[in-house]
Amino acid sequence: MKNSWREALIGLCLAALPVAAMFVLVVLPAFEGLRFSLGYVPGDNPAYSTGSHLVTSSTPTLEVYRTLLSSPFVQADLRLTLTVTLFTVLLILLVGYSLALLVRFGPGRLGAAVRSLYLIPMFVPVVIAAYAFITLYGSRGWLDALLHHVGIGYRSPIYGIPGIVMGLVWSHLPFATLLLGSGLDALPEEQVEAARDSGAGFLSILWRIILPLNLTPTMIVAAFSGISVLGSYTVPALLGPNAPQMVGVAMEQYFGAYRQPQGAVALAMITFALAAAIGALYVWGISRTRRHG
Amino acid sequence: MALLELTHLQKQYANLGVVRDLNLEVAEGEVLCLLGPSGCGKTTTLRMVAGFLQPDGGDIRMDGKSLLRLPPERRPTGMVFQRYTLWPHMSVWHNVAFGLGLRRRPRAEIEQRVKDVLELVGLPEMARRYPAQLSGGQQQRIALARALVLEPRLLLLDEPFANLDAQLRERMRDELLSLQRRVGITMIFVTHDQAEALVLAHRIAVMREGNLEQIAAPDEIYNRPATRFVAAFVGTMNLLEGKVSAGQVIAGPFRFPVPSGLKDGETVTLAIRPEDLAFASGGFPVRTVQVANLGHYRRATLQTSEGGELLAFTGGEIPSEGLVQASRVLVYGASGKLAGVLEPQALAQVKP
Repeated sequence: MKNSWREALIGLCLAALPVAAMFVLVVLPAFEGLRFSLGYVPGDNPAYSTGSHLVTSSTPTLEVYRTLLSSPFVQADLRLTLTVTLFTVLLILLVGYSLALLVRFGPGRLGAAVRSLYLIPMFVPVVIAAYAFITLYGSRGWLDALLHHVGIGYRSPIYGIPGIVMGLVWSHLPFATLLLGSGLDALPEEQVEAARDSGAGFLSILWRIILPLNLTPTMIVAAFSGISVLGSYTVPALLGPNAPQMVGVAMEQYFGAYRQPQGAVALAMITFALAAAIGALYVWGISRTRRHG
Repeated sequence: MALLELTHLQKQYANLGVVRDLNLEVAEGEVLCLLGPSGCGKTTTLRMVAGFLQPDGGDIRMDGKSLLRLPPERRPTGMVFQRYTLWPHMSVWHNVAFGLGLRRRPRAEIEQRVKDVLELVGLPEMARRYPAQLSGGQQQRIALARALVLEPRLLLLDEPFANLDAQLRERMRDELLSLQRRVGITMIFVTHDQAEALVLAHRIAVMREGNLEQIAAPDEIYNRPATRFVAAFVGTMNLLEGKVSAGQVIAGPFRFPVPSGLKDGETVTLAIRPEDLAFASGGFPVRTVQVANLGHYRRATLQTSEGGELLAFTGGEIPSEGLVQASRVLVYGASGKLAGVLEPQALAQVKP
């Protein structure tokens, strides 16, 4: 009996540290942020009370959200964020799948080459990659100069939606390909061969066998890339337009340039809600795919 | 004309010949078993016929036409794999109907053919289930149905029962046999299980290190193994090493006149089936070392006066000591090829 108490106590102590860290670093700030965005402004905390355009209320109010969401600038920011997220996730899946399929089913040397190359972006800091994109594809960049030499006009994708999407696809691709590739590696060769034996060509096999069987990694990639893109800052700040902006950049400006921490926190809460919705979609999808074991 | 012809078929991996100059024919309606130990090239051969592997040399012809340029999806073959390969996200019905759907058959025809084939494999009530809800044996029967529903000219089976327990394997083997008799489909069946090959096949092709050792009917393979390897691999066999000396073969307790084709000084191997050894009034003396009761027969380990051990299968009494006679002895020369079979009359002259 004594032993079981001791074991339980050791277990609790071991679990207490990560739980406490999560509480201090995630739950408490999130809860405080939510309260702040609902009008509770602690007067004795200058981080909260010295901001401008503060909405103060003794009871919870949605005034901050109402003001933010009625602003055409914030609406445009949210539209841009959702558009970029959608296109980026689709492109990540498309390119990631192409690379993962090449690695898994491609001819020996090509597959091996792709396997050793696709991880490279993981080791390049995003800031460096963003400046490389500007140098290569920006107005008066390398590609512009090259096309100019051969007399072809060029419109740079940098400082627009395509620029952000390019940068985000670059930075998310290694993780996505790695995950999709692991899923494809786990796929038994015989499952694909049985489909070929039944008369299926490559596209039928991809659509009806490989994608459904690799649905869990696909959903993980889609959900986690989506959540990451939604709150991204560096790439949109360096490669995106001045206006509208992605919410990550807008949050920073509300916080730093406009000195409106309450607006920044409310934007963070909206972003959190969107990310939670993606998370919920992911959990629902996973539970559906696992139903048939 | 044979349905399938393999001529000078070759396959190498890293300069190592996995299949070496293989020649064989399969007749319409025939069940051919490729039998051999792991790594002998039987699965590689099957995968080349299915189109999953491209041979390095030789040809694969069906009805006289080469299949080499056809990808697997265009070949008139159906394959059942060793591992359960049903697609887990599809119901049994959708698994079986998959190939028919790809061929854009009318819905009514698909319904009918799926129903018929599920009845054929004895699982008509499983159509709505998912693979995870089926036992291993049921999954393999559905895999068989999925291959059969497309009515292939040739059914290829790659150790389909290897993952099943012994009892179920035996039942599935019998079911496949009766199904083949009903449908009359041509089959190539890969196995390393001799009993499976002996029960199922019209002919057995025994392979070793990429070469064909012998191709013959099961009785022939069992009773007259063409090589020492086949003798040792198929069934249980007593093997005794000996030598040709002064016109006699001397091996263990045996001394007998040299069969034609063997030279003086040549090493030989005698092969005797355990069921061909019996206690008798004459023969050579043995001492019984161990007896194992296997239900319908007993397995006795016998020690000869030279110290060698022999196995004997018998349903009768086994004395602790006695004389044993062999009713049939196979003689293999130094090349490993069958040099002669000593039947009862020849063995009567054997002087122990």
